Amino acid sequence: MLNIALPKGRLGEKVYAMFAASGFECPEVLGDSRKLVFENQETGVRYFWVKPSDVSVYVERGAADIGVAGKDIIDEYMPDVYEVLDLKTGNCRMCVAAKKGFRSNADVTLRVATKFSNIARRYYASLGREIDIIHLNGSIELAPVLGMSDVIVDIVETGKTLKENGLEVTETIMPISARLIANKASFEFKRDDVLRVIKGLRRQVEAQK
Amino acid sequence: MAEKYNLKGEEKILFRLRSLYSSFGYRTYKMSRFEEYDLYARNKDFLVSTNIITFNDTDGNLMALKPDVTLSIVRSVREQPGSVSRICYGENVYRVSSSSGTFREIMQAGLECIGDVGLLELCEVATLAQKSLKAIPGQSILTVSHLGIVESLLERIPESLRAEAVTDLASRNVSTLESLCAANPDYSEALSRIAALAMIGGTTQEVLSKLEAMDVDKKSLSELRAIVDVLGPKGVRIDFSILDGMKYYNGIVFRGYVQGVPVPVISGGQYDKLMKRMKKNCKAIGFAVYLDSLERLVQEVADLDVDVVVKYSDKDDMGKVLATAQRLRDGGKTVVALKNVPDSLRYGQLVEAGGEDNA
Repeated sequence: MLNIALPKGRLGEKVYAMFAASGFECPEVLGDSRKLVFENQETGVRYFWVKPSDVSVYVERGAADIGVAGKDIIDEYMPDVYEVLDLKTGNCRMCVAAKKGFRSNADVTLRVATKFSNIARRYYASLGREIDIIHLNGSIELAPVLGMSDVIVDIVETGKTLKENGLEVTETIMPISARLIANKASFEFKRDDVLRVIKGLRRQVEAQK
Repeated sequence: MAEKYNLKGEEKILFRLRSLYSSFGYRTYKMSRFEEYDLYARNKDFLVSTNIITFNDTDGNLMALKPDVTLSIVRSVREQPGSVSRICYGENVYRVSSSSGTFREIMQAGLECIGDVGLLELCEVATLAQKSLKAIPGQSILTVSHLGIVESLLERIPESLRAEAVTDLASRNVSTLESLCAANPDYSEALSRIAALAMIGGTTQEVLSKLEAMDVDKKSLSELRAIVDVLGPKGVRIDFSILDGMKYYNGIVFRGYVQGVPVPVISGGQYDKLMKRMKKNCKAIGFAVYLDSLERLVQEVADLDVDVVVKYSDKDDMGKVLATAQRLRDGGKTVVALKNVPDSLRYGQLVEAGGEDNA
C-alpha cells in the first residue's frame, strides 16, 4: 500500500486527477465525506489530504511515502526527501513586490514581509543585502500598504491581488511548480510502486505539453 | 547473550554491534565527553549539525561537548606506515535535533578503519555495515555509491553548474537536471549522464553493466564492482544520490535503511579527503549507526510494570516482608514491596504480606 499525501485545495484536486489518469484512482477522495484517509485496495493506494505546507513533513517523517508539494514549500522547509518529478502544474513565481514606484535605498536595512522567511533570507544573503524579516502568515500585501515593510516576498500567480493593492513585482526569485516528493526509505522499500507512480505521472506531464 | 539482561532495544543492538565489531578485531575507543572546540570549528561541514554546545574550561580554552566521534578518533590515531587501525565505539553525542531544533543526547555506534586501507579493508567495512543492518530487526537495504564515478562526470561540466547538478542528483531531481541539460547544450552529454545516474535502477549487476556503457571512471567502477560482489545481490542497491559531505568523502559511500524507520540508520564511507585536511598521510573508511532513530522501532512495551506486588502494612514484621519479597525474586520474578498500591500500576500478582494471595 502506497501512502500519498495530497495538498488540500485546487492544486490537490488537479494533481489527484493526474494520479487517477495514471491508474491510481480512488473515487472516494473527491467525495464530500469527512473521512481523512481514503483507500483503494485494488490500485494499492491510500490518499490523505493535508495542509499544503505540511505535505513535506508527512513525507519526510515517512507517514506518507510520496506527496505533492509546491517548490516554494520545498525550498522554504528544505525537507530531507527526494524531489522526483516536476508536475509542471500549479505554476507561479516567487517574487519580490513593492508599492508602485518604490525605490530601494541600499543605505538602510530593507524591511521584508513574507511567509517564506528562509527563501527571503537566502535570496538577500546572495545579494549581500541586509534585511529585517517580518514573518507573516497571510495577507502579506497589507504590510507595504500600511508602511510596515518596504517590500514583500511572496508567490505571484496572476499579479491581480498586487495590482489591486497598488503593488508591483520588482524581481523574480524563482519559478514555482508542484513537485512529487518521496521519502528516502520508502523509495527503497516500496521502490517498484514509487517508480510506477513516477512513470505514470511523467506520461501525464508529457501529455499536458 | 544480550537478551538475557533487561536491556532496552537500542542497548541490545549496541551490544550485538560491539560483539560483531570485536569479532573483526576492532578495539573499543573510549573518549572524553569534551573536545577542544577548535577541532569542530575547522571541520564544520563534516558534522551532521553545526550547532555545538560549548563552554570555557578552567584554563580558558573553549571546549565542546562532542557532536561527533570520527573527528576525535582521526585526531588521536597515530600513523604507522603499512599498518591499519581498527577502532569501534558506542558513545553519546550532542546534536541539535532537526525536528525540535533543540539539543539532544544521541546514542551512536560505529567504527573507523584508518591507515593503509586497501580493497580488502573497503570490502570488510562495507560487509560490516551490511552485518550491522542485519543486527537490527526487520528488513533492511544497504545502498552503495562510488563518488569517483560521480566526480568523473562532474569534471566534464563547468564549475558554475556543479553545485546545482550535485543538489539535483542528491534529491533525484531528474526534471531539473533535464532542464539544466536543455539550457546548456554544450554540456548536454555529461549532464544527461548525471540525470541518468539520478534514477538508475535494476539489480546491482544491471546497474554495473549500464555504468560500463556510460564511460565513467574505470578504476572507481572496478572498485564498486568488487565491493558489490562481496556484498551479494540481496538487500543491496547502487544509489548515486548519496552525496553529502563530498568535501570529506571520496570513493565508496553507503547508507543503510531499515523498514519502519523513515531516515537512514547507517551512513558512512571512505574519507581520505578528511584525513588530508587533518594533515594525516593515510586513508580511512568508517560508518556510524544512529541508534536514536531505532528507538521507536525496537521499543518493547512490557505488559506489566512488575510481576508481583507484596503489600504490607506498618503492623507487619519488616524482616518477614523483605524475606517474602526475596523468596519470590529468587524464583525469577520481579517484585516490589508497597504499602499503597497505585491504581496505575500494572502487576501480575498481589501478595498480602499478612498471608493472602490475590491474583
